[in-house]
Order: sequence, then structure tokens, then C-alpha cells
Amino acid sequence: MIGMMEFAFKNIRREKTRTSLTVLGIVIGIAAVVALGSFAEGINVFFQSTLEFSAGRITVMQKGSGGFQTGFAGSDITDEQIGMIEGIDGVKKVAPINMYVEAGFGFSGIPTVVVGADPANSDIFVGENIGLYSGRELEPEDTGFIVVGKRFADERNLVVGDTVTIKDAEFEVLGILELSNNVNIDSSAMISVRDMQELLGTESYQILYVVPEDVRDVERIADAIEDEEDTLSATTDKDFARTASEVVGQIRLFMFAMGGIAAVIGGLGVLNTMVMAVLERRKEIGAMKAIGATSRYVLLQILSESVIISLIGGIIGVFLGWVASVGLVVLTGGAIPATVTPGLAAAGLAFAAALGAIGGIYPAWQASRLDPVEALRYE
Amino acid sequence: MAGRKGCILDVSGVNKYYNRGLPSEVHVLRDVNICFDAGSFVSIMGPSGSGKTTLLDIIGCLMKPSTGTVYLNGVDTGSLDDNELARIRGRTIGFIFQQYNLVPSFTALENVELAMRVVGKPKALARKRARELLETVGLSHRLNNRPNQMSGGEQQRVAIARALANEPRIILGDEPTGNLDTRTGDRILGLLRRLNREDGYTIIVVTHDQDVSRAADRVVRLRDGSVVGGARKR
Repeated sequence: MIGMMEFAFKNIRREKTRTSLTVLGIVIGIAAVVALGSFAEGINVFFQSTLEFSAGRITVMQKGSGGFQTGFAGSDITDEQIGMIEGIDGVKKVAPINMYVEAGFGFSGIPTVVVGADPANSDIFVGENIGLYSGRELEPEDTGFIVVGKRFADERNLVVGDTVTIKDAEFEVLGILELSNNVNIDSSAMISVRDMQELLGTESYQILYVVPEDVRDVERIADAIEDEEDTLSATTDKDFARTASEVVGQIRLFMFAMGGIAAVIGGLGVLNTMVMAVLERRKEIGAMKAIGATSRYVLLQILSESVIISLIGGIIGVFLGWVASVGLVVLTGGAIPATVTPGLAAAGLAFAAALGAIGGIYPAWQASRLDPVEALRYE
Repeated sequence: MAGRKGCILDVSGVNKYYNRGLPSEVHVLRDVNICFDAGSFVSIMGPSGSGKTTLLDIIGCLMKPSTGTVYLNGVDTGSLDDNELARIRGRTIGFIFQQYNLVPSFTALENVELAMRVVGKPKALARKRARELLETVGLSHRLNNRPNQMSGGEQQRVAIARALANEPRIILGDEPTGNLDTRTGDRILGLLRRLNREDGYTIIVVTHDQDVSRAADRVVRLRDGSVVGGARKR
């Protein structure tokens, strides 16, 4: 319809304060949707990278023991049990590991994880494609040495040859890994499994990584381990992936629900503003109809006005959401790689437009149905 | 095509009730028959409550009669739907209101343009014609003023320019001088008279104002919803 947009833009500028406040409502809502959405996306990426890290292997722990965050407290796997698992058909390698988890260090608050593992098995832990930044890797006979992640080193200003204290023992930095895309690895360090046992004063292990000959056998081997030793729990990356995706799904749902509520409240602001505007402009709308504007023209006119208001809010909101997401990345030191994808930005704008359309449809319909005779004589 | 010959607007057997069938029923127009000649200047007079405004609303296709027919250019307006009526109002009829009813946030030029834009005329053409019309009504110095920056008489002249925008055949005025002082009212009246004499517009005005009636070719008098006089002066 010719002139519609021009007219709508003009009308928007009539009540500047009210329009600004309405726009602000949408801005807050859409910014919340975008920021929380990017946060959920970041958590998803975080889980995905953790998932890659555990791909194709079985994690064995004592049933009822704690997880990563508690340093697997209470898990107590013996050499005998390792021997038993090694005997299961299809098992390629069993890598026993002990971990020492230190409370959050540095700005990011990511716990420091020191892994005690057989140097021969280090590839299971750090992944094969992560190289060294400096120094060398642990060799099976090394003792009193530590290899650290890049972040671990940077936060403590460590270079090869420096000494670092873990719990109550000192270790010499032997190598520093290059930066990976996994903040877990970057913030952790590795010592030999014997050194770790000594450090923790134990002869057993907290956790085993079991690598199958054939990845397709993971489920069967995991079942076999649990059948043989009912005190052990064997989880595959499939289990983990399922749990992770459930958790991520719930987080995402929650984030979008939060953002959605904020945005819907913004949409109510649009509804309120447009209902007021239509009431105030009754006479004018009546006059427009008298001079030939059809009901459809009036409807589209009011509707485009509310969509424009919402879209302005949407554009600013997406921008602010993006700023918030960048802020979040900086604040968590990159641990939560929150990203505003083009899809998320587009969804934010579409959501804003939809709110404008939904918030505008009732007042627009009301305006279009105004009887010009009544509207014109309205005092 | 129907209606009496020679009538640009033929009001035939029109009755109008409000709240029909309710205890509060009001019979506003009673069997009204009027033929408006093309090119005439007609004033409709009557005391308050005589039904003159209702008659104007019906003539202007803003309202449908309860019974009876209004033929506009021979077309039975009762057979048209709301959109068709809106189109007729846009193209055949120009309205002038007592309260001017301009869009407050628009300049004089934009208000006149708007009338052309709502019926789908292109912007450049609308702008050019709006400028010409405002010159015609003597407002070339007020093109970019908003209604609140203009006097009542100036606003009414903008409204007249707006009414002329789509080259209607008929101009309907509802107390067009009702809010103006005598001198300004006379000027508006002079302008309407000129549009009628020089450009051939049919002008129908509802008014209390004796001066307006004196300027008209014909005065239709209403009392209690009935036509009690329709003297032709010419």
C-alpha cells in the first residue's frame, strides 16, 4: 500500500516518550532472548567439546563415587579389577587415572585438574591432535615432572623448567601444551600416575578409561564390565552424550522461556501503546475513513506501525544481546563460548516482528472496525 | 442505474431509526425524498435534533438508511459493501467537517497528500496536486505548517483542499463555518461559492448559519426528521 510505511514512521514519532518506552520493552525482551540463547549455545559448545574428548571410550568408576568436580572422591579401583577388565574380549587398552582437583583458580573460576596418568596413555587424555607449545612430553620413566595446559601455565606465568606446587609436592614443568579448543584441557596438568598415587597416598585408581579395539563394541564392553564387577559403573560417551544433551536441552528451554517471558511482556507494551494510540486517534481514523481509506488500509496502517516499533526494538535488542554475549565470554574467560549465530539474530528479529504483529493485530482490528460516523463525532 | 433523471444524488424514501425495535427507538428521518441537482449549492437547515447530520452521513455514504435508497450518480449505494463505499467516499465525495479533522502531526501539504495516497495515487503526483490545491485555497505560504500552527480558518481551508484532492463531484460540509468567526466564515463561504460557480462542484452543506443558507441556491429545511421545505431560489 502506497505511503503506508511513510505514514507509520510519521505516527511513530508523534508520542516520542511513549514510543521510546515501548521500544525499550521490546529491546529488553529481545536482548534477553538473544543473550540467553547465546549462553545456551555456548553451553552446548562447551558440552560438545567435552564430549569429543570422551568419544569412543568407556569411563569406569566405582559406583556411588563423586564426579569430576569432587575429584572422584571415593572411587577406588584396584589393579586386580584392571586385570579383569583387560581380560574382557575386545578391550584394547585400559588407562588408569587419578585426579587431583583444586578449587577454582583465576578470574574464570575453572577448577584446576591435575591428572595422574601413564604417560604412554596421554593421548587418550589430551587427544592426539594437540601438540606441544614448548618443552617435551612425559616419558614413562619420568617422575617429579609435570606437563601443563597453556592456560594453566599462563595463569601462573610458568615456563619450562619452573617449579609448581601441587597439593604438597613440587613438580618441574617439563612441557606446555599448545592452546586447544577445550578449556578443560587448557586448564589442566598431567603428572605420572605413580606420582599422583604418591601425592594422594593411595595404591588404587579413581577412574579408568577403557579403549575398545572397535568403537562399535563400547556398549557391549561396558555391559561386560558391569556384569563382572557390580561395584563398578561403566559409562560410554553415548550415555554421557544423552545426559549432556538432556541437560543442554533443559538449559536451552529454560533460557528461551526466560527470554520469551521478557519478550512477551515487551509485546504487551506494544499492545498497550497501540490500543492507546488508536483511542487517541479515533477522530483522525474516522476522518481518514470518511475521505476514502478502506478498513484494510487502516488495519495495515496500525499493524505496520506496531511492527515497525517492535522491529526497531528487535534490532537494538539483538545488538545489546550480542554485546551481553560477548561480555559473558570475556567474563568466563572463554569457558562459555557464547555466540550470537546469524540464525539466533534472525530469530530475535523474527520474534520481535511477531510480537509487533500479535500486539498490533487487536488494536489494528479495532481501528479498522471504527464506525466513521461515531469516530468523527467522538469528543 | 436508477434514480430520478438529472439528480447527481437522489435520496428516495429514506427512513432512519436508531435503536430500532428497542423502547429507546428514535425515528430520525421520516420518508425523506430529495433530488440534488448536479452543480447546485444546497444548504440543509433545521433545529438541533431535526436529523440533518444523520441525513448528511447517509448522503456521504458513512451510514446506511434503515429503509429507502440513495442513488449516487445513479448507483444504489445500498448495494455496495464497506470497501466499495470507502472507495466512493474517496473518489466521488469530499468531506469538510466542523472540527476540520486534520491529522495533527502532518503538515498542510501532507494532509492534502494523504487523501490521495489512501486511494492509491503515486507520491509525486499527490505532492504536486496538493501544492496546487493549497495555492487555490490561498495557503501557499502555509504548506509546511502543522494544524496547530494555523488559525481555524486556515485549517478549514486545508480541509477544503483535502476535500478537493481526488476531484470529487460532490462536496459535503458539516457546519463548515461553525467554529469560525463571522469574517473568517464569510471567506470560507466565498471559497465554497467560487468552487461551485467556477468549477462546478455540487456543494451540500448542513448548517445553522443563516449566512450560509443565503449563499445557497436552495435551502432544504428539516423538522423532526421530515423535509418541511426545499425552496429553490434560482
